[in-house]
Amino acid sequence: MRKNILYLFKLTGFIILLMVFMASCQKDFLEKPAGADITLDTIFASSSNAQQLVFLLYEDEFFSPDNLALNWWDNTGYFGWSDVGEDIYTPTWYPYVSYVDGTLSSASFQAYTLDRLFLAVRNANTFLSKASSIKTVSSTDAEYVKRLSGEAHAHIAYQYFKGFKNWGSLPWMSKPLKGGEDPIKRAPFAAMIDSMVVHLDKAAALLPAKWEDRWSGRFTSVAAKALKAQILVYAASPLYNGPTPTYASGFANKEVLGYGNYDVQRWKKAADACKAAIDAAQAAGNALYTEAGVEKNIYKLALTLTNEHILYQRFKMSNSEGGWAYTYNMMNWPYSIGWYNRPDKHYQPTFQHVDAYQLKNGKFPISGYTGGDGTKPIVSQAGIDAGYKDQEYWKNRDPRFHQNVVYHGSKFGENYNTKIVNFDSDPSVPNRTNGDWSGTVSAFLPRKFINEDLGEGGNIYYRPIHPIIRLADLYLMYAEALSELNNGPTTEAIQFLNLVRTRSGMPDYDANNYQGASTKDKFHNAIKYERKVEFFMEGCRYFDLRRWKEGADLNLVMTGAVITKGVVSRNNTGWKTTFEDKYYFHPFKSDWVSNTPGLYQNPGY
Amino acid sequence: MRKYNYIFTFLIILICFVSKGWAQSDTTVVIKDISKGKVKIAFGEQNKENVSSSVSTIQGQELVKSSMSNFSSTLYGKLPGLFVTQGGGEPGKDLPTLRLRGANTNVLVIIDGFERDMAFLSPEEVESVTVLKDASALAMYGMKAANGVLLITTKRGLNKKGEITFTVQSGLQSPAKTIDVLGAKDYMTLYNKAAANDGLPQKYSAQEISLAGTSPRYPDVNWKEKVLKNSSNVSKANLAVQGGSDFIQYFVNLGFLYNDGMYLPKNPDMNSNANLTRVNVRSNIDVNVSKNTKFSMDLAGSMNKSAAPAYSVGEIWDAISTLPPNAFNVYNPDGSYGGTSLLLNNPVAMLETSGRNNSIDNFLNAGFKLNQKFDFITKGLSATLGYVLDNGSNNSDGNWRYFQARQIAPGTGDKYTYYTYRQPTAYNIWSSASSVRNTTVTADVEYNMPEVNGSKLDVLLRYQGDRQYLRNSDLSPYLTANYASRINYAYNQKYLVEFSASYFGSDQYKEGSKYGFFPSASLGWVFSNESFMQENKNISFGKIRASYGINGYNRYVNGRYPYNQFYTGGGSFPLGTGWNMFYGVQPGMLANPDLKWEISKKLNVGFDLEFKNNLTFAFDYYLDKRSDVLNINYNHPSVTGANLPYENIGMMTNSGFDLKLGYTSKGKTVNWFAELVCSYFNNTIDEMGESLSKGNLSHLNRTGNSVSSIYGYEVIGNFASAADIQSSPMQTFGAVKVGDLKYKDQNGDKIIDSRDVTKIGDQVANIDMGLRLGLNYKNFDLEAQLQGQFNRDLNLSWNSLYQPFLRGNAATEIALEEGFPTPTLSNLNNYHTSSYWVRSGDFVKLRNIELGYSLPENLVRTMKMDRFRIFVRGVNLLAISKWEYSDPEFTSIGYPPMKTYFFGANITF
Repeated sequence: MRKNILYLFKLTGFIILLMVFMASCQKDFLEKPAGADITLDTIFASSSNAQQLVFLLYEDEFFSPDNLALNWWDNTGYFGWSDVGEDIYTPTWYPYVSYVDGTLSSASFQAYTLDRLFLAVRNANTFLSKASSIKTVSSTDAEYVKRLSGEAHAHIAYQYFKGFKNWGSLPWMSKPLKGGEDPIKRAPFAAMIDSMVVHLDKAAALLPAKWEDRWSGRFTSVAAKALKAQILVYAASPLYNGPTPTYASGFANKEVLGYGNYDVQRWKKAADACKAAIDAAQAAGNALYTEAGVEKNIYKLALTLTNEHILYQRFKMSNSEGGWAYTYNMMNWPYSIGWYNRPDKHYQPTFQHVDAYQLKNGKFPISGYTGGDGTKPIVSQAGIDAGYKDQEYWKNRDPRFHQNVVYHGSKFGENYNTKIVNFDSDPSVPNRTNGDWSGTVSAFLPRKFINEDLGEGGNIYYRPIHPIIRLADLYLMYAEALSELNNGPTTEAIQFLNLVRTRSGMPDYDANNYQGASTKDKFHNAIKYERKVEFFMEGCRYFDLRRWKEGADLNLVMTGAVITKGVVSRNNTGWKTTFEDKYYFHPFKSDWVSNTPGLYQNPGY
Repeated sequence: MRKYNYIFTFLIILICFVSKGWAQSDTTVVIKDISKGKVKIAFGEQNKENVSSSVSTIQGQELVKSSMSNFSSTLYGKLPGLFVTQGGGEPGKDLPTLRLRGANTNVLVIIDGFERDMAFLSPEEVESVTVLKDASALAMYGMKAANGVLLITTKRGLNKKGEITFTVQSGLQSPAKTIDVLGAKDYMTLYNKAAANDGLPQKYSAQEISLAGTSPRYPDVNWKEKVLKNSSNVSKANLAVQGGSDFIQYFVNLGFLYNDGMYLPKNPDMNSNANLTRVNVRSNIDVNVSKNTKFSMDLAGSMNKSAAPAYSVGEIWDAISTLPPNAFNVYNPDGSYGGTSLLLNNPVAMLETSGRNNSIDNFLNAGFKLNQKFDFITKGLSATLGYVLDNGSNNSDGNWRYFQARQIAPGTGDKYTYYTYRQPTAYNIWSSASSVRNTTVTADVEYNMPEVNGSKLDVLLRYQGDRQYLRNSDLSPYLTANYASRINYAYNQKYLVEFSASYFGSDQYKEGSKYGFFPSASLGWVFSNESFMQENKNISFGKIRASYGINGYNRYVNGRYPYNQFYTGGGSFPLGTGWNMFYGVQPGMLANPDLKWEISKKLNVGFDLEFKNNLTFAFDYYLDKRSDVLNINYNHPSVTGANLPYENIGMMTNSGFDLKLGYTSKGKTVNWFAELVCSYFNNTIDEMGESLSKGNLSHLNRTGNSVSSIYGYEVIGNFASAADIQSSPMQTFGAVKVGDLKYKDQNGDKIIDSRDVTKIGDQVANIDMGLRLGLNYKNFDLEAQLQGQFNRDLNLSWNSLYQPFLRGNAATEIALEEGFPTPTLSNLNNYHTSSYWVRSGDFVKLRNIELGYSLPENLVRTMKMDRFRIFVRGVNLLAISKWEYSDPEFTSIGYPPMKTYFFGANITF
């Protein structure tokens, strides 16, 4: 008995000890310590934290016009729309070649992905949903939060604009989702355009016409109005403003592709929006850039921030050792000028692109091709009058030709060491400036956006300005809208077209120089020419052709130039671009369609 | 949480009371001594016979003969169920992967009870290595159990006179075979052929080709020869002292390793060759403070001083393996380094002038244990408190600089003019420091009931709290708490029952859901102890085992505390006239408040047999059903605008078997043994949140295949003619030519694109076999270890070694192979992942072979020694594989694995 009591006593003591020990060990042992985490609470604690939600939307991943492929090895992040079209040869092994080679499908590489688009929209919506909870410290601060809201509204419209250029309408997100909600269907096209306009009107009301210098580059009320104008011009264009394309007649969800009918009033809305934007821009001090002179304006414009830029995106890339970041500059640099001698070439303008330039007198030297074969140009009467020869194709052309294209015999190297470009294909010719890694296909290189100062290395920044909308674009859109609205160009329309031409030293619009059955058609072709050469490498052409329903222009076999011991000849590159009607609306990735009911696949895929 | 505390306490009281009744019974039954040694198990050890779970063990002394520069490399083909796969061979960075039974994460390594790094152990200091495989053996590890545990136990002191063992060995290493780069003539000829195929002019004239290698204008450099030594040195030494008295027992070990790198060029300013010097010490001391109290103090430390060239191993080997042989000279005639504007990485210059990185890694593992016997309460009761403090630190520094390269400008004759690239700089100096820390507190209560009426009961209750700082950058430690218990009951040495369980918590999960319960049970029947077996002439021991239970896996995905929604910084962009950079924020992965650990339900059935003719056989079949595997659910709408979170949606099945067959022959002069280990698994993904494709696209689905599957296009031949190209489905990777690879149109839509991708191989072997053979003849001993892995495919896709010219790179000998697709400079058609680029990687390797000679005892005695043995050993000498271009386990660009020859001696005083 005594033994048992003693045993119990000892056992109890042991267990108490054990419990005390364990309790001391496990108390709050697994508690998360306080940390420097970024949560919604910390973000909305002040305007300076909250602004970062908006800042994200300016990053090139979301905001880029995607006009140039800036990185050669990772085209997924830096896609170039300028490459997709009839102006430029696309290396066949580029992932985005499917946009032009006839293989576009729901499995193809995509230039801009929906996850990026919806992430940007989500950030903007997150900001708008909680902006009112930001504690502001002063009236200036409160004003700043308003401006941020304005930017968020504008970015939502910008993202959907990017989206509808590709796919037509998209599901409209009016608030950030938690995940697991019922999917939202693609909005009707008309509703999506209206929603974008509503957001841009709000943005224009909240934003300043101009930011102080340290903030330049952010959305302004002028930019919001300009974007609205651009969206309404797109919406009024034939692809959307008219009956559903016949190829899509069997498509069940036609309302996502366009209005389904033609209404001239849409051009009225577009023209009004353009005019409003132009007025706002001029009031804010925007003007066409003319300081560099007719021979340099367009070239300088691509590398300098000017008053002409309304909405734009810029890159900052240091020209330090091993800097792949400025690949665009490097990949299109003539071989053995300066120190970076990449022999492979990325963008190569075609001979057809060169043929398209007017002569200085405003007439076209080439009127077409025999059998559509680019190697057999038909020299027009104007060409004959001007003494056009393939050997001297560069003579007497629109000054923008020299600013857009590097060609055999042209000068290269802006300030430091001007050299003559020599693209001769014969290895025995001395001082050649072409490489040989993957071969030069066309003997042309782009000049626009290339900073010719960079070749010698040193601590120079490559700072191209990528315009999204510049004043010249507003002028040409306004001219286009006026002509469409009035069934032919008004004096005002011609005036605005001429402003753009005059800036580059070209004579005024002369309807006789353009083909077309009516004055409206002729003027349309004048606008088409002007946009092609004015916005070369700015990622516009492909989308212009699509909105005009002129995708057929993208069917061609690309022709290049070959220089053999100084003799220029034309060469069929064998590279054929293809456009099918279904490309008017790009496909969604098949997995997106399958896991998102309501994200109807576009017709034909 | 408190609730469990009470249950736990209640259990202890109950067990003590119940057991007290038995313990006080005065009937004692003497049972024949059946102990055939102990086996290490989770947090303890067990008589081998009493084990009813699935474990496999190998003794430290058996690993000594496989000794290499790291400990994990001694385990090839030795432990059934464990797949050991080799990595590269850079000194200090040559660890193999250790995967158990189809798991795709390395096993958890536990050294003397705690998670530690085994890289720096000497085989001489290891008592045993045990792999715990089934749910029952692993249950006590709770959320850390699912992928298996490798228990390493170091030697401890013995109550005997001190014994000194000294081993010294030195060896020469040379790289295993790597693929050869074609010389300039072959390169240029092939280049011209590729250019012709692409419709481009010939780049090299016949004269240029014939002149290759004849003058600096026509370089022909074999970079491997210029950069690699024929052999480099590796030396090891180990001194161990083991002994003790009643009061104190000790084991002290001192190890040393020097491993030199393979690089030939020398930097006159410093030694920039890769190398590793390691000193490791261990002192395991047990002090019997009183009859019932024992204090143990284990200290282990290691200092690793390693160096590497300033350029990364990737950059160096990329240059060695991909530079075109005719690109430039090693040195130009003026003594400058060769290079071009595109190809600046002259490997000789990189090694000779660019500096080096030094790294000093110090580890100190300290473990303290206080064990108190409570026999005065009830016999067999004891408690242990433990505290562990493990520290690791890294101090790195280095210097680097740019070198200048020059290219010979076009011209003729002996007068050279140059293009000069890059300004050389002075050395830049950098340094950095980081540390890791791990503290653990443990409390164990153990009750080993003395055997009564044939019943034997062992009970273990344990608490363990871990606080780990895994990286210097961790702001918050990884915290886990484990309440575990095991009850093992044996009746008459015939019937075995074991329950073990863990109640395990992790700070990774939200409040209220931090803890999980992981139970398991196993049964064993030692049928050889049944009376009907006593007469059996063949079988001396036989046991059948079965177990079932649940293990967890506390997998850290998407950072810490994923139940909270965090935001992360985005990229930057310039604003304003000053081009100042600004930064955005964006949502991180969406929060998942319901996130939990992964679950593994394991069934294991096995048997152990020992035959009277010295044959032993152990076999295990297992079924491991994984659920709650963390995957992103791609069935959710993609329009959410943020990254979808990991959810517990995945399911996976691993099943298979592993076996070990041993035979020992003891003769008068010749003793020999053979041990065969075979492991097999079959892995299937049952569910992975994949948005499943249907109908003619179902070949795209990964669900139903193994995790390690390779996906790509199925090659059905080469295009035979233009007509063939015309009539075949259109391939979307560039213009095709006759001779190009022709892919199968899996979905029948007449176009070959990413929707025709299907399973074309499996990267991970599912059969691993080991054969160990040993032989003693008089004073000679010979031992060899073979290992083979089967059903393993090499994926050669998207690797410059196998894609001549594509990135301006060289061509390797594979380009001359029969059937190699049409060479091209830029056409990607042939280079997409396809069955052509998937080759069998099955291999059999002679991992090591050792021949030893022990000096006759009488001679050794006169030298005042107990034993003196000299040996030669070869490591990784031979690989047999269909893949002949390089080591079948190393087909990428990098520091290849090594072949090593050692010569050495073991001395025991």
